[in-house]
Order: sequence, then structure tokens, then C-alpha cells
Amino acid sequence: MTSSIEQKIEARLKKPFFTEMLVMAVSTGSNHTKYIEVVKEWSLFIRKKLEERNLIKNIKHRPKEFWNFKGKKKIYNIDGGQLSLAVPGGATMGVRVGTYRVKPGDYSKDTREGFDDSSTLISNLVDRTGHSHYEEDGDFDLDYKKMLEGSRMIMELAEVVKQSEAKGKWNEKPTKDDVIFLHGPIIYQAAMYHLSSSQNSKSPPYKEGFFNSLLQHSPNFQLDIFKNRNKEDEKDLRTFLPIYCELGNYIKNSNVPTYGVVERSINKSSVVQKAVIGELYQTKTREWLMLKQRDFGWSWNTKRVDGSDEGEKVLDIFKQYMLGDPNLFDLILDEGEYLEPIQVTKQYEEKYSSLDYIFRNVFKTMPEPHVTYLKTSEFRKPLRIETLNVTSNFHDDIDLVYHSAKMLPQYAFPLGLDTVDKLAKIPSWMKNSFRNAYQMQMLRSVIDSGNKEHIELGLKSLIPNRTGWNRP
Amino acid sequence: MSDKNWEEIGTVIGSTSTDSYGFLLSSLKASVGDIVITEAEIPSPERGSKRVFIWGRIVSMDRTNPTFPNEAAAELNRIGAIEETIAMVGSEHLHAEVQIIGCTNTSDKDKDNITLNPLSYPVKPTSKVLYPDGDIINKLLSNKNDKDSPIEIGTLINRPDVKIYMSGEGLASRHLAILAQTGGGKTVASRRIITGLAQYGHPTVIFDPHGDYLGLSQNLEELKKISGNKNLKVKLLTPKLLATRDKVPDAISELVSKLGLSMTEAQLGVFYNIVNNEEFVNKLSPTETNLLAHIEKLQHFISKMEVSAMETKSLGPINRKLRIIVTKLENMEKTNQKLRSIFMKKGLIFEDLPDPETNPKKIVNQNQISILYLGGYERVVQSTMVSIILEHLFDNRSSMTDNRINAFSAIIEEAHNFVPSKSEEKGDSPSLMTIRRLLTEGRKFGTGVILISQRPGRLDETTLAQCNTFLVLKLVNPRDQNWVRNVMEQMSEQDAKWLKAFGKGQGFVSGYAVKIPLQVQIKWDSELETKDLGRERFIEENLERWNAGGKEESDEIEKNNKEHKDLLKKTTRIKL
Repeated sequence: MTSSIEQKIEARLKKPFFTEMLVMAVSTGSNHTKYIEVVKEWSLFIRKKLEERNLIKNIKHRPKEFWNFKGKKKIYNIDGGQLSLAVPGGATMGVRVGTYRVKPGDYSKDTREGFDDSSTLISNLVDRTGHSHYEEDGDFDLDYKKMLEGSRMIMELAEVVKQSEAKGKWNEKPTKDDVIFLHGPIIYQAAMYHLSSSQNSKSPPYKEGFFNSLLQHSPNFQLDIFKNRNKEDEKDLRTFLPIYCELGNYIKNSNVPTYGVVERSINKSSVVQKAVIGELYQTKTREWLMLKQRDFGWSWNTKRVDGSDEGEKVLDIFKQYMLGDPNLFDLILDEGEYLEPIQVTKQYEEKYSSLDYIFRNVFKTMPEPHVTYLKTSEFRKPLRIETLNVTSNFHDDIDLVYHSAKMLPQYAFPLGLDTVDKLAKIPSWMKNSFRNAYQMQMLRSVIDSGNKEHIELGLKSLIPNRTGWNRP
Repeated sequence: MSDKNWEEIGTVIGSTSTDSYGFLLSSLKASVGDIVITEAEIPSPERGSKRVFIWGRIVSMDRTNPTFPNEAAAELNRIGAIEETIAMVGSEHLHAEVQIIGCTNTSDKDKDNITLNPLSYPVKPTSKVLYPDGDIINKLLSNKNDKDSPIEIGTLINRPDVKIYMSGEGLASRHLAILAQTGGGKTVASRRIITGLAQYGHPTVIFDPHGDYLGLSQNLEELKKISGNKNLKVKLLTPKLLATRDKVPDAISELVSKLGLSMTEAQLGVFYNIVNNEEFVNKLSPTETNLLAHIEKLQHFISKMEVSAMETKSLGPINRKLRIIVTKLENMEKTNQKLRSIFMKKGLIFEDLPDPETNPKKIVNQNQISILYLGGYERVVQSTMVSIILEHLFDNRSSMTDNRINAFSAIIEEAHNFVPSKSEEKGDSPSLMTIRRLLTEGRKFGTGVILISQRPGRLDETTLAQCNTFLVLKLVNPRDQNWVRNVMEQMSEQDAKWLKAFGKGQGFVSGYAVKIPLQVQIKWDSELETKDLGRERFIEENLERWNAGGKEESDEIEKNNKEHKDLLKKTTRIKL
């Protein structure tokens, strides 16, 4: 007789995204029936082990009872939008990060809610004097996109810091009983966003004004490189990695619970399962990563399931059967359940080894998040929630994420983050005005230069269809 | 009047034109129908520029909350107040669409008379939108021109501080249509206009099929007070078909033709010979004016007269038609009498209608409202009466003699019965051509017509198109709405959407008698309401009858029935 959880897992295997995986698996030679059986068995097994160790937590859906904050809790929801313009000669872009703050239960129009429209960057971030790249240059394209992405990531973290320091719209600081949610991971694999130009060994720095705007907690810096900075290191500090690390450490050491909520983890992601299996089987890989390399310690300190090698085999099976984190936890968890938070490793030493000395050292101080998966709806994949600082309010905060997501039953995503996503998006009229304003500015400057080549390039950029220009 | 007192209520956004613009409105600061202003700089004729106020009317509004998703509603039902949750409540967008009325020079705002000019340059996006005070709107829109005998009809919708007037002269000389479904407020509106005309002592003749206006007589004192006219009189008239002896032949011929009693050519020939026969005419009483009495005399005359063999064939049909007329008229008179008696019990006094041909001044007179109660008469007869009466009055008025009657307003209730459209297939409506004539020629002689109908779709389109002013209240029927839109050039699409949404007494006025099209709230003269007149209370009546003896009556009938049946059983049928 099949248990109810077994029946549930069987039913979940019929969902569309599993059907796609099934097709993929079959196309690689796996047997259809075997695929389902293997996936089901392992899901059941892992769930059982987690349950035995009380590592699966449960939230009861009780909307009337839950939403009873009486205006005492401040909830910050942060999100950003970015705009890239494919024009030569500069990294001009628009990035807008916004915060929607709300106090549920506060009926006053003036104090209940508000939107803080933070840094809208329209000027050049990076000084590229003396350099020019054509759009066909692949390196430039790669760097440019990374820089855009990295800047957005930095600005979102900087926004957390800014709100925590009450340097924005509101002059009251959040406390340990408040909460900050960020749309997206709380921390990324940082090294890949650190720019290096193929023409220079050092990556171009951010402008000073922008740099200072990111460090609203100054002079209470976290890292020694900021505390004890000297003029020679100044330009190196004004780059992605050190800033990102500084901001990440601020959040890690803050007493304000701060979470990144990821709605669409890619199926390939296996960071959490590696951590989970690593902890359950106390694998050597996990031991080395957490204890030896980063000196973090075990997250769960729980009874071992089996030997380290067995754990590695399990991970191989998951890989072979393309069972990434979101799919695995979708099978394992019931609606309203979440995993006891577990620390994961996102930063890899080998990614830093190719960087300069000052940036290699940053690796050691880069914080690693604790992660959980929360299933808010049977019809959607679970949300991944990350934090750099697990506080005593963790369970209550996950409860809040759950009930916020219940307000969007189809989308199954917290309503506060959905709201700020709508408010912070770049409106189309702003995109057009950016493009127009940039092109005007650029054209003026190239004409002033008197350089025929530059003028030609500038005029070329105004033509929407470049192939039209090139055709004789 | 300082424009600094005018509250800023929004900002112009999006594309604008010389006809309209949209703006983002601050919460609760204005609503549909409101008049708003933006200030702008436009090219001046002297090739420079000048500052103007651009006036507009809010014709539609949209309200959205882009941050509140519909799917959150189900969960919200379980929670209760949205303020308890994480949802954003203050991100509403109110977008209003404004139809531009015109522009005025900013330098004119303190003048008593402000002239509205057409706008020839679009409104600037990002301009501030202002909510003007009642004083300046009154100056511009109230339409109160003392030279024009203004009639106060109500206020601007949502602006009780802005009174709206119609031009009394405009109503007296031209024609008005009041259109609304049942319960829309037509009678309230028409009473308001009647009161307004009464203020100036302007004679009014009301053709009242259902007795809706008889209350004006009951409430005469209140009417005098409201209109301010102490000399006001209200006459309740019983319609009669009248003719003096010398007019009898024409009158009878007219009646026969208007009642649609068709005769063959031969019959017509015989009929006209008889009716114009000198012997017949001489037999008529010189003092008798009741046409019915004359027709009875005609019947008697025909029965005695000697005719040729050919004429004999026609006499039968002619007699039959005359009998039909007499029977119809007698029955209708009886019904009318019974209905009147109900009103007379409430204290109303009816007079016989004076002859409109020989005594029109008794019907149309300064400070007089004459109400013709047509209850009990069939539609064709009503139409005939209206036709005959109006034709005589108009003929007198247009005679241009010194002794002619005053200019007057004719008010026709249930106008769709008197000027029906072709699609109604109502056969002859004698009043149709008469009223059309008044509408086309009446302007020269001051015979204004006010048509009132709850089914404009059933009104003759040509007649309706002749109306210069329209007051359209609530209309739900799509056919009626389309009809009105086709006829009213000044009604925009947004205005048309309001036709089904108007509340009682709310409507859209446009045309000759007002400066610009406006949404109005008609002033309700509650003192003129009649609580007991004209209200059908058949259940109450039945109960009264039953309690008064109806029960006994039905018992008696039952007893008689049984006796009758028993008797039948006993009776042997015999062959005759």
C-alpha cells in the first residue's frame, strides 16, 4: 500500500516540468519507467531521512490569525531594474533600485507604506578614457554585461545597507524585529562579476561618487582593507569584489534579519543538494569546504545517514537523473514545508586564484549564505530563501514569506516583492529618454572632439539598423 | 476672483489635443461631470502669445491599482482588511479624460461676462489641472442672462454651488425635447420648466394623457410662491370636440378624416353633399357647440332625407361610420368623466374646453397654465383633439391680427403617441403633421413646443430633429440611446455612456437654450409633488370595495348562479 507522501510524489512527477525532464532523460538513453522509479525512491528516502532528523519544518496556513501585526513590524522589500544601451564608447546604463516599506496593521496613510526610489544611475560608471571598443569586440560585450549585472547586484546590497542605516526616505532604522527582503539571491558567486579587461591587467574602477554612495555605513566598515585603506589601494577598492564583500559582511553582521528570495532557481543548480547530502552523509567534500577551507562548521550537526562515499554516489545519481535543487525539493516538500536552513558554498577558491593579490584575499572574507527551500504552492516550484544572518526570528520570517506568497496563489511569490518589482521597473518612457539623452550627449562630445573617426562612429550609432549603413 | 483659490487636483499626461486631454487626478478631488481648468500659453492673433484658461469637463475616469493583483482577492477575503496585509493600498491611479469646452483669456476672469472661445492649440502635458470655484463657473456656464428670461433648471452635477439656467426666450421661441425612461425624472424636469415659464407669466398649454400635471392645480399656492407670480392661474380643461353651427360641416369632415374612417370616393361625394346641405345646417341649433350633438343631428337628418338610388348605396356605410364615431366619443366621454370624478373628489375643478377656434384666449392667456386632461380617450381621438386644438391656436397666432392670442408654449406628454415614428405603424396620427408644422413654423410666431417622451426611439425622427434643445435624462434602452445619439450632434461617446448611469433627475442638456452641453441635476420642487393624484392604487381600491360590500356582492352572485343553473335544468327546451 503506497503511503500518502508516495502518492504525492507520484502526482508531482506528472507536472509539466517533470515531463520535460523525462523527455530529456529518455533522449539521453534513460529508461522512462526506471527514471520515475529512481527519482521517486530517492525523493522518498531523502525526505524520510530529513523527517527523522526534524529537518523539515511545517507552517500552517492561517491567514486571519497571521496578519495581526498591529503596525509594529516594518517590512522592507527591495528590488532593482536595469537598462542597457548597446552603444559604443561607454558603459552608460540606467539602474534603479527601489524599496517598498510597509507596516501591516498600520491604518495611517502617512506611515503605513511608502516607496523609496533609490539610485538611478545614468552617467558612466566606469572611466574608459583612452579605450574604444567596437561592438563586434567579444571581450567588450562580455565585460559590459557582467559590469551591468554586477552593478545592479552591488546596488541592491547597498540599498539594504542604506535602509538599515536609515539613510533613505525613512529616518527610523529597522530593528531585529523588522525584516528586509531582497528579490533574488542574497549573495552571488562574486568572482565572475569582477571585471578584467583584456587590455589592462587591472579592472577599471568605479567613479568615486558612485563608490561613496554605496557605502552608507561609512565609517563603520567591516573589512580591514576599508578600515585601513591607503591612497595606493584606493582604485583597487573602487572595484566590484571589495565593495561586494564589504556590503555582504555588513549584512552578515547586522541584527536586522535580511533575506534574498529567489523565485526561479534554474534546475541545474545543485548547491543546496550538495550541502544537504554533504551534511547528511558528512561527506569529505563538505567537510573540506566548510571546515577546512572556510572555517564555518557543520550546519546541522546531525546523525549520519551513511558513509561519505555513499553520499557522493547519491549526488552522482541526482546529476545523472538531472534532478536539480528546485525539482528535488519540489518532490520532497509538501505545501507549507521548508527545510531547516543550511549553509551553502557559492564562492570557489579557484575562481579567485587568477585575480590579483588584493582580490584573492577577498575570497576568505566573502560570506556564505544559509539557504532553505519553502514550498508555498503545490502548483509551483518551491522558493529558495537565502540569508547571511540566521536570527532567532527565522521561523517567523519564513512564515511571513509563506503567507505573503499565499496572497499570490497563482504566482506563489511574496506579494511585497511583487509590488516593489512593479514599482522599481524602468518604465518605457524612461528607457527612451535615456537613449535619446545619451545619444545627444555623445554626438555633441564627438563633434567637439573634431576627430573624423569618432564622428563617423557617433553618427553610425544613431542609425537603428547598422547593416543598412554597411551595405554599399 | 483669484485663481490662487483654485485647488490643484492633478497633472496633464500623455498626448493632448485641442479637443481633449487626460490627467492623473489626486484622490477624491473631482468626479465625472466636473468642470476643470488648466492654464496655458497659446499663440495670439498678433503673432505673439497669450495666457488663457482652458476649460474642460471630465467625461470619464478610470481607477486602477497596478500593484494589487486580482489573484490576491481570494486570500484577502479570508483576512479582512487589506491594511492588515503587506499589500500596497496607496498606489492607486486615477486617470480622468477631459473634453475641452473652450478657452477664456486669463485677464477676463474678474469680468462679469466671460466669453468662451474655441481652443486652437493643444494643452501642454505636465500642466497643472485646477478645480475652479463656483463663482467663476457660474459666470461662464450658468447661462444666466437677464435679458433672456433665464429659467433655473438645476445645478451642475456634483456642483450644487453652480446653478444652471436655460434661456426662457430660447424655450419660448424654439423647441425642447425632454427624453427619459420611466422614473428618470421627466415630470420633475418639465414641472421645473413650466414653473420657470410661469415666473414670466408665459402662457402654457399642456396636453396631459394621464393626469400627471393635474397636481399643479392642487398645488397652485406653492406654484405661485416658487415662481414668484401671484397672478398665476391653472385651468383644468375637459376636452370636447366643439363647433358652431357654421363650422359643423368642416368639423365633421375633419373628424371623419382624422379618425381615419376611410370612405370610397362615391361615399365621400355623398357624405360631403349631405353635410354641406343647407337644409341640414339650418336645422342645427345656433347655440349648440358640442360636435357630438351635431353628429347625432346629422344621423337623424340622414335617416329622414330622400336620396337617389345611387346615393342610397352610400348611406349605409356613412351611417355606420357615424355610429362608430358617436359610440366611440360617447364611451370615451364617459370614461373621461369617470376619471375626472376621481380627481374631483380630491378637490379639482374641471371646465369644458373653450372653442379653440372662436375662443382661443380662454385657453391661451397671460399668467395661465391650461391643462387638457385626455384620460379615457383612445390614442387616435387624443391625437385628433390635439391636432384640432393646436391647429386652431396656431392659426390664430399666425394670423398676425392685433387681436391674436399671446405667444405660448405647448407641452405634449407621451409625445411618441402624438408624433410616432413610421416604424410604429400607428396608421394615421393626425397630430403628427400639426406638430411638425408648429416645429417648422412656430419660431416665427412664438409657439414653442416641448415634447416629452420615455421612448425616443418611437418618436418621429424628423420631428425630433427639429428640436433645438435637448434635455436627456436616464435612458437604458439601447435603441433609445442610439436614437438620441443620432439626433443630438453635441453628444459625445462618453456622454452617451452616462445615459444609462444617470440617477433620478440627472441628465444632459444641450442646444439652443444653453451655452454649452452640460450634465445637470434638475432642481426638484418637492412642494409641487402630488402624493395622491395620478397614482394607481388598484390593490388598495379592490380591498376598499371588498370591505365596503364586495364580499356580499360575490356571495349574491354565487347564489344567483346556482339558482340560474337549477332553473335551467327544470326548463324544457322548446322548438320555435
